[in-house]
Amino acid sequence: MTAPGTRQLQRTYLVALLLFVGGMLAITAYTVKTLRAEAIASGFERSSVHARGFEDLLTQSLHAAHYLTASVLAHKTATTDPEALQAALDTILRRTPFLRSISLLDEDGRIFISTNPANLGLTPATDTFLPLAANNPDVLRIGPPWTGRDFASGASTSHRAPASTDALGFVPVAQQLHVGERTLFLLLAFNPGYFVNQFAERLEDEQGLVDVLRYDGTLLMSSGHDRPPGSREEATIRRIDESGSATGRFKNLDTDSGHLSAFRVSRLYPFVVVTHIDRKHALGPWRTATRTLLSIVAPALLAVILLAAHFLRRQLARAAERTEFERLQRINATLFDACAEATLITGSDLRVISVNPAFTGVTGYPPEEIIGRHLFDFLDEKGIATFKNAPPPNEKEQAPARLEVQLRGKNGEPFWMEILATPEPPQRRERAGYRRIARNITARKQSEEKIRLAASVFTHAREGIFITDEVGTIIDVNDAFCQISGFAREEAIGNTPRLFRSERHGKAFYSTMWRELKENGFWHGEIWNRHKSGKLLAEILTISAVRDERGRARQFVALFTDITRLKEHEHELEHIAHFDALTGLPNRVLLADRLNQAMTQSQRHGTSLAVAFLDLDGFKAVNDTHGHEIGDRLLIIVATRMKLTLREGDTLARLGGDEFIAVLLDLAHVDGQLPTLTRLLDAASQPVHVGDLTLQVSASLGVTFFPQANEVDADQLVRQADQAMYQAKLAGKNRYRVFRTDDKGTGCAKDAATEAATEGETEPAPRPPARPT
Amino acid sequence: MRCSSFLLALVSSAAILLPAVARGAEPKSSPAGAASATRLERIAASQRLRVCIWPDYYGITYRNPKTLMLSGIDIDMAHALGKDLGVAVEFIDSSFARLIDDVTGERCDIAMFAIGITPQRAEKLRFTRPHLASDIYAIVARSNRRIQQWGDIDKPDSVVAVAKGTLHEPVMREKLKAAQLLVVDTPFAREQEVHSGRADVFMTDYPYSQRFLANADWARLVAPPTTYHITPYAYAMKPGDDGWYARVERFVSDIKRDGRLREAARRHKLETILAP
Repeated sequence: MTAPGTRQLQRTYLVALLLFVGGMLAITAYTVKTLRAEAIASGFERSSVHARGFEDLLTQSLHAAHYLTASVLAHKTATTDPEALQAALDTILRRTPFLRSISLLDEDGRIFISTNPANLGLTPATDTFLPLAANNPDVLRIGPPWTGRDFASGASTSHRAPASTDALGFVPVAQQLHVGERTLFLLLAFNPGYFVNQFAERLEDEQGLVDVLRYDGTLLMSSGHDRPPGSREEATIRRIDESGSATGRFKNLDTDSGHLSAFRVSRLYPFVVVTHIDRKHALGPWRTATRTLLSIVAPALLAVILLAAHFLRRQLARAAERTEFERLQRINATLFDACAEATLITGSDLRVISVNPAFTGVTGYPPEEIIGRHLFDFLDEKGIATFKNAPPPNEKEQAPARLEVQLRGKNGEPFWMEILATPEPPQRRERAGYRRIARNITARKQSEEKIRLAASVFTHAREGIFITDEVGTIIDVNDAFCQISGFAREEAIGNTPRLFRSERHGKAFYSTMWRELKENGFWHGEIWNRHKSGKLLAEILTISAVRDERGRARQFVALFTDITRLKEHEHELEHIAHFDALTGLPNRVLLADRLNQAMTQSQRHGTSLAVAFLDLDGFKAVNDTHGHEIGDRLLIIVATRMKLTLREGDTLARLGGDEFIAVLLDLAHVDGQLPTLTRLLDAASQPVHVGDLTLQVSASLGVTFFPQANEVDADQLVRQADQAMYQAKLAGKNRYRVFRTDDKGTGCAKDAATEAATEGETEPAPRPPARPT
Repeated sequence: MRCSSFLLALVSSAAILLPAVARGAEPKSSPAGAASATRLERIAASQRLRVCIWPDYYGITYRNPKTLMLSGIDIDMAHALGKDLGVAVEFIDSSFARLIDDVTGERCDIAMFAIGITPQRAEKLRFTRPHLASDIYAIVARSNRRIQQWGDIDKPDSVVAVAKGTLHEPVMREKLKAAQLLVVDTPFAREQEVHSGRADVFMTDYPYSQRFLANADWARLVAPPTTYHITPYAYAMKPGDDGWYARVERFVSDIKRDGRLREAARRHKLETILAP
């Protein structure tokens, strides 16, 4: 939620709360005020009731005392029989606990009869009794309170000298009586304690107090402890006077707490009863009620405020959560839309809920064509079967269950999708199910296929393949490797290629190989390695470095093919090309090679060499006589013998038929070669045993030397030697002739050689018959 | 405390000694009853036990003036005694003023109204061992502001009322120094004097004060702060009949032992004054 929104919510809450709390407070205040007014009214009512009651009690008591006494005196014998009168008065006194004593005054104002003998003879002053006797002497008159127990021991109080509050006292009441001819005064001593007890009984000290005032305001008696009888309650009596009513009420605020006062004027006698109900006490129930009310309302309000605060905080927190949730939703939606991976979401009923643009891009289905449709509409039969046969997702597993199926796009093109089922808790009126998310995995599928193919190539290739890490440790080999090298996979992995290295290559070979690998990332060539059994293996090896993104070689992949047999065959072919098949001697090709090499060497070292041309004498006859097989065997033996006469480094080659050429190296001087030539001739002419036959041939030999005065090449040297051999043939065979350039000149020798060659072919020289040995 | 234990000791010794004194006086009055049958026999023969009571004695032997029903601990005990003896009980109204005359004049076989054992009475009557013992209490009008506590009573202006013939009369006559003692004829009169203000207080014992305060709302109790004068209460008989005395004495010991006394005291809220 935005900040203004939050503030708005807070303000609304605050206003509502204030209204509620204010309303509650107003109701409470009104209730409290009403209750208070009721309590005050009730206090006044109580005060009035008490005033009425006490006035009644006092008036009745006075009336009763007056009536009883008057009735006794009305008796005829009253004045004539003092003893009977005394007894009658005593009887009255026993029945009237509110009277202290009953006395009768004679015309002189002297007590002549009294229930208290101590009073006899006294002349108590009655002139201060009110109302004054002057106007109507027959009314009941009340005197100021006296202190003491009775007239005998008491004294009258005055406004100036009231009684002390705890002193014993009484209230004198006088009434003129006419008994027969006599006018007597009845003097009653009223016991205030009796009435105070009555007051106190009905109105306890703390509740209030009762005053009895004479009509002039003199306090006759009071239940209050601090109110001295005889004092004058001027303010109160004035208030009563002003009211002009026999009953009334007023607030007396003289004391600290104030009183709820009510008065009642006696209907017969000159006194008034004033009750003061303690205001504080009268308000006691109100206070209790108020306290109770507040003790309920205040916690309730506090609870409401706290609850409201808590609720507001929760609302705000929820709003914040909702905002955050919406923000995340927007992010998710954006992410979903922006996701390059084609994604489809279905509900638990398998109906499509949402697809992202990438899905539309891949399948061609716009959202409006796919949303709401069943997932099976887009699967082929195989896919539906896969879906239906899939085991139900395990709810306990956190990871969603996965299925891979093929969907068809709008144009029918298939693509792979992976379907993830995520358990969804039961929603309103829906059973728990699975939400499904499908995403395009075609690329992954293709990549997996590639990997599978690559793995297949690796496994099934006829070439041996091994892969090493950057330091050359073998990390994988294929089956062909094992077949070719003889090493098991387990033996190879962890080792380096030194395992199968042969000693056919020097250090230089390997360091070159490594250098090339490092520089070019590639090496290709033939190499000799060793089979596990120890035999050598020729291999064509290709090593390729696998580089990481920074160009460093992380792995090396080596492919090799076994070419050992090929090598052997090649070797054979090479032998056939350079050696004579019959005798095993170098043939014309090799001879040319070697001669050229020898000539180069000779020139470099300043030595000489000789080229000798040999032709067997009489060999044709052996061939004709004994057949080719015998002839061949003869040739083999003679050639072997001739080769044995030569030094190491010298070459004897067979040109074909019975012609041989020997190249003799490192000649110190030309003449030194003659014994060698002789040995050659001897070797050729030695008898040869072939089976039962003993055959004998000889050889004619022409020799030339190198270097010569004129520059010559190999061919020329061979022609010169051939020429010289011809000379030897001509000279009778079984001998040698040295080619002399200074004899016949270069041109001659050349010619002679040509001739000799022609002759040799056209006219075979005569040979001795083979002799049996 | 020391004072109270001293007084208790005094009371106990009095309880033991007084019967002995009474026995000492026996021979003087015995000739009259020696010839006649014993009281127990007479009671058994007449099938009734005559019991003197004072019907105004709250908690002890009180007759409710409205219902005329008798109640009190000694009413219960009298019935218990009658039951023990197997005879009916007849209650004879008496008072402390007439006590000695009624008992010695054989208006009743026994006086059972918590009679305080005083030397004057002990001279004429034979007491059982005490079953109750009470101190003296003062009753004052609520409106009396001068007397708030025990110490305020014995002052020059005070008037103390007692009923004639009660144990309080001699005790207060002896104890009061400054206050005036007013002896009136009846217990009712002493209440009337206090109520009208002609007297300040009247003296009474624990059971009377309790029951009186329960009925008179104008009065309040002033109790002595420590033990003032404890009087043991017992049953009184005419001296000279040992068999009767022994029977009653056994009864008192029985009710003390078997809990009947305590149960009755509990019922009449007098447990605090049960004699030891």
